[in-house]
Amino acid sequence: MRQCLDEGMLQSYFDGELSTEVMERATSHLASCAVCAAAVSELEQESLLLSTALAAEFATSVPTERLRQRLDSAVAGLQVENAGAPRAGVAALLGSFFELFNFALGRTLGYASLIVMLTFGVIFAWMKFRTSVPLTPKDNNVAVTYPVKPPATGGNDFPVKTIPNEGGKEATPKYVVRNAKPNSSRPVAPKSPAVKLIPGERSYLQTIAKLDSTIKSGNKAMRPTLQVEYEKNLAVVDRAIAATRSAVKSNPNDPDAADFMFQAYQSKVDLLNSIADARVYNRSQ
Amino acid sequence: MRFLGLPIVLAIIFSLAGVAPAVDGKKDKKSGGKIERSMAADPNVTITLCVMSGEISVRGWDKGEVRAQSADAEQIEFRRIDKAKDISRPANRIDVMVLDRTDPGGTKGDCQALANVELDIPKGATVQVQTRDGNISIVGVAAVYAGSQNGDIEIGHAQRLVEAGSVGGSISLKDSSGRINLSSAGGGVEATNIRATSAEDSFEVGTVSGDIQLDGVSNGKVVAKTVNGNVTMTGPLTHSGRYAFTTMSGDVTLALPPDASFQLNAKVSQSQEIVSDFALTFTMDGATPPATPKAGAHSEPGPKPSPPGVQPAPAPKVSPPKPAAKSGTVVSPIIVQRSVVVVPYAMRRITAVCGSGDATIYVASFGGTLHLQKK
Repeated sequence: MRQCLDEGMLQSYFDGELSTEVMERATSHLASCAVCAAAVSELEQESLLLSTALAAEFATSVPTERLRQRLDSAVAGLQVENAGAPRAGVAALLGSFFELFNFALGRTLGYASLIVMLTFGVIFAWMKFRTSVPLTPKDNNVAVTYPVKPPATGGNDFPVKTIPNEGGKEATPKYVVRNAKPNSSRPVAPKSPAVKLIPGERSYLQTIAKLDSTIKSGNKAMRPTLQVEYEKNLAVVDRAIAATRSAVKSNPNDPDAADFMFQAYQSKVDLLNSIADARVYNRSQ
Repeated sequence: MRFLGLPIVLAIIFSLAGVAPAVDGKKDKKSGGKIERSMAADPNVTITLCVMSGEISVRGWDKGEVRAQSADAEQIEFRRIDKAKDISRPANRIDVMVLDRTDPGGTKGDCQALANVELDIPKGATVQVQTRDGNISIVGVAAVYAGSQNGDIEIGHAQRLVEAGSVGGSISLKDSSGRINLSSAGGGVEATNIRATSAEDSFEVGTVSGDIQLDGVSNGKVVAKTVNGNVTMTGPLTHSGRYAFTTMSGDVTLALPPDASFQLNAKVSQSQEIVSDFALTFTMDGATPPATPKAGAHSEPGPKPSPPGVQPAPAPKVSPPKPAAKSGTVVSPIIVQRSVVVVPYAMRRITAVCGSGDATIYVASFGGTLHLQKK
């Protein structure tokens, strides 16, 4: 071997990892090469230094691979046996319970966030519950209802009445105070009293409603002279309708009373027809 | 001088030609500040006229043309609205458009004028007039359609048809014939000397608060309705005529000749009276039968079935008649006084006959009194 040995070759020579033939050629070269001999000497000194420093470590007994496998299998067998076995007694329960109070950092943060969320939830629910509860009146068995919308005919029967306040002076509230059931939890808009119509009356009412809307439609106000005639005669027919209707209710079996009522309705229809024609005529001007 | 006379005469002739108005049936001409327009028309022409405010006066004449005059209008136009193929023939439908000084160009359209208008149209024509505030007067026209909101309507000598309506004004109809339909909401209606041209011609009148006065209406069918007004009819009844009177709170007064013959079917309130100068033979009464009057009267009690839902009331009081005079039978009025009602309100039906029961009178009064008077 004429070429010098590289470092890897020297390390392998020193570790005895070379084959026999290569070892012999390396030895013959070291005998004739001073440089490689010096390198080998330097490696020998470094190895001696390391072995001296790590002597304690090297002295520790290290299990072999076979022994390691045997130990692993034994540990695995122990874990299987522990998982299949039931909890044992109250002590185990208490132990797991008290583990919850082990205030580690992560667990503390989790507890804190949970408390905050619960607090917000309670506050929100309380506020919502508070708004759905009705205004508690001072008097028992009294519920406040909303004002009734006046009928389309323009009658002056808005059901507002005055009630005395605590000072004894009359006040005019916005709402109508009526007796209601004590368990009513929500204010309910009162419904207008159901009017029982007499057979045949509905068609007249529908016709009158249509004519009334025709008269009131349009931006132009009714002429004063026409308005006077309209209101004067409308009052006349309305009184007639009311009187005949009362008669029909008093005498439901009397066909003549019903006939009078329908004639009164027809008079109103004729009146509204003439007024509507006049309105249409005036609007065209 | 002889040579100067001829030019002078010619100058005078030419000046008179320039001053004298053009006499042309289709051109406007103004005389005394009044604008006038005329147009040839068919004898049965239909004329329509609409103004917003102003007096409308329509007269029928014997000429075959339509003439319109107005002292307030700026312009009067005749619009031929018939679709005649031959334009040279007289118009069958003419629309009279009046333009006042506030709208000389006619941009506002029809029914906008504030002007009094006078129309002369053929007697056989049909006229349709409408106004908002003005009065309407129509005389001597065959058929009339008139409408006003606040104005009064006077119609006379219509021969075939009259339909008139007013909201606040009154209606007066005289010496006319044919089918009649009058209506007024707040105004009264008067009809005098009305007759039918055929058996189908009816007379219908309706008001809300105005009174109805009929005098000499001889149509075969007469219908008068009112809500708050009174109905008064005077004059003889038509042979086999049918009369219907309906009121809510007004009275019904029938002033009939002494020899009137009719059948009365009345629906009245229990609390109201029926006052009759005629001897009535009651065939049905919802109340108990009246007492038989003494000598001189001819009413006889008949069967008195009680209608369902009505409780029987005590017998009404009847005042005894006066003794008969030597010269003839004097019958005092029979007054069917109000009964003592047991129910708060009740209607009663009364059927009675006077004489042979030629004409039929239906009376329905919800709260008024029925008067049958001899005149």
